[in-house]
Amino acid sequence: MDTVLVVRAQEGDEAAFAEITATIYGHLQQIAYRVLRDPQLAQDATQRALVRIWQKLPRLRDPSRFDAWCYRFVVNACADEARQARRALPQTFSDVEPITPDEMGRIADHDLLERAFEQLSVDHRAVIVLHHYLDLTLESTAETLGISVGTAKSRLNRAMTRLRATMHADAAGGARAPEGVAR
Amino acid sequence: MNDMHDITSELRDWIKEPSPLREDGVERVARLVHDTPQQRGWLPIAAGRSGRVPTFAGGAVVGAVMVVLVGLLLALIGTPEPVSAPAAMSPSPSPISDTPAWPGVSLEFVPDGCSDACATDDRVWAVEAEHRGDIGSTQVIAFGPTGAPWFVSDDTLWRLGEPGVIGPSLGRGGFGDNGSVTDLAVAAAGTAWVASDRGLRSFDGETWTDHWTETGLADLAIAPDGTVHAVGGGGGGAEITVVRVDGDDVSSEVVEVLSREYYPTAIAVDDDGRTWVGAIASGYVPPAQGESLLARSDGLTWEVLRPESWGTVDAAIWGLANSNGELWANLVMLARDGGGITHHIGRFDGQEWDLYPATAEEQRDLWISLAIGGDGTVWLIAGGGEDGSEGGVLAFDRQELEWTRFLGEFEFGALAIAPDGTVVATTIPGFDEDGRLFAIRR
Repeated sequence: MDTVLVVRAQEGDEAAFAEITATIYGHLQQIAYRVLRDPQLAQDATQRALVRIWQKLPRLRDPSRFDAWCYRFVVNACADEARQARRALPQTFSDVEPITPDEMGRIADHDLLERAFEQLSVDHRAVIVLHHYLDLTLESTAETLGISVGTAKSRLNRAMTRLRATMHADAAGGARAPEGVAR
Repeated sequence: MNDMHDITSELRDWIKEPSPLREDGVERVARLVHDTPQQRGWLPIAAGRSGRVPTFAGGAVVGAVMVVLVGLLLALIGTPEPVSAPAAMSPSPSPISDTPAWPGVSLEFVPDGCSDACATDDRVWAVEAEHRGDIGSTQVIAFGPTGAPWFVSDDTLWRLGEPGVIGPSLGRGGFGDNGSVTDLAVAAAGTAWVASDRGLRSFDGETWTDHWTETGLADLAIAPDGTVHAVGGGGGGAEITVVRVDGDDVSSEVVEVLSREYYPTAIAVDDDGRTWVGAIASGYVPPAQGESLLARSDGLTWEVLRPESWGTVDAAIWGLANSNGELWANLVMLARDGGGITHHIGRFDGQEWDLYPATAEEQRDLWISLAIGGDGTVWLIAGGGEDGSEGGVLAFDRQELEWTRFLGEFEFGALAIAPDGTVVATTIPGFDEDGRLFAIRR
């Protein structure tokens, strides 16, 4: 991001922030979608994050760190959207029948991943998205989330372990977990 | 799925697949931004009444100069939006002065009480009483269910009581020399509990009761079910002992899983009834390989914990607190590779620990105490750093990952949070002729 634009926005220049928004909106929305797996929630989270970014922008001490700084707001906004979505939509159990071994051949790996991913908490989803979608290092992931590298590493390991376990259970036709964003 | 054990490459492919998104929200953001003021650094526009708090007497003048300078700056850069502050910056009405539990106390707004990065509604007051008793050095503060603050100083327990008067003393506790009191808590029924080098005592408003005198105690906690827990002993081969008081029943048990060379520093009881004990090793000496400074009991057995997320370093525990189903820890991480000491806040959500490292500036502090506000803000007091670090009261916003330092020029000794969310902290030596009591609200 152009640091001159960031500095102007820090000083309250709405036009500068509009340029920034136009530049990063799609990118932030893609991140939010990867975490929430819902286009509408992702859009709401992106808008919520951008308003918070605008509010907090004067406190950003290093404008060159703007992009990474924004990711944190997106993750927090995703957590907020997920919380609200849980409140608005009571968790229900899927009426989809368990997957049988015979059906396995017809189901793409990505469908299994999608369903397993949706069982993860927002914290776990976020660390996966930052590391595997944005290709951030564990150090950068930790910095973005404001947690220690050890916590980021642990969280990623737990997320991947749970992902595998859920996929195993799903493929074996085990009990289905509730739909919606897990916590 | 060909290889269920190695899904990483599959995951990376899947997560980068195109998504069904439209970028039609940009204009809405612009409208929202137009209606949303930015949160500037906290500017002392609404200076409080000056004169009664000499320490901050210059703040109003500095504030006025800053307002003029900021105004000129904004005019020069042509920013249409003025710095938003007026409504939230009003020093009154203050929260606790209107509370019956704080009768006769006046609050002096401290215009420059927030050192950096404050929200527009962060406010600080110096607590002034018309008369003060001979309280001496205040070691601990706690709030009772009515919102009244209690103090222990020297060997006396005090409560803010009659209008305009601090005190009267509720009784001499017989705690011994100054510094021997380690913790104070007030139960829902109004009974005050005091842990000290001499054991555990309670005061029900009329009489003192000794519950434990066999060992000194380092910390106490009142569990959600009302039972009182305290930890003591340790160091130099002494057993680390947890004392539990349930009504008239007093029991104790030895925490065998923690080395007797450690000193217990903190105890907490989580919402599931598990008891947690934290410790430090003498003189920051890391524990032996494989040993831990954190133990937990489910009521039957104790286990030592070495959370995976803490990595290979050892964590000394300076404070534990249970809040809203989460356990929080004030941690000092001790790197074995000579990497030195780092401060972290730990949060246990019932399944795993997250660590939040301090920023470079806060790493220099010595963190004391730990309290969690109703909004989830983590509060600490900082003091005594060896390399010129500031003192003050620290607030950590976990959502925004922001640190705020209040009153950095003071060294604080005790901290507590009132039922209405007001944070109260007293400076060293305490709330007496030379010390101060401050109230912070955000």
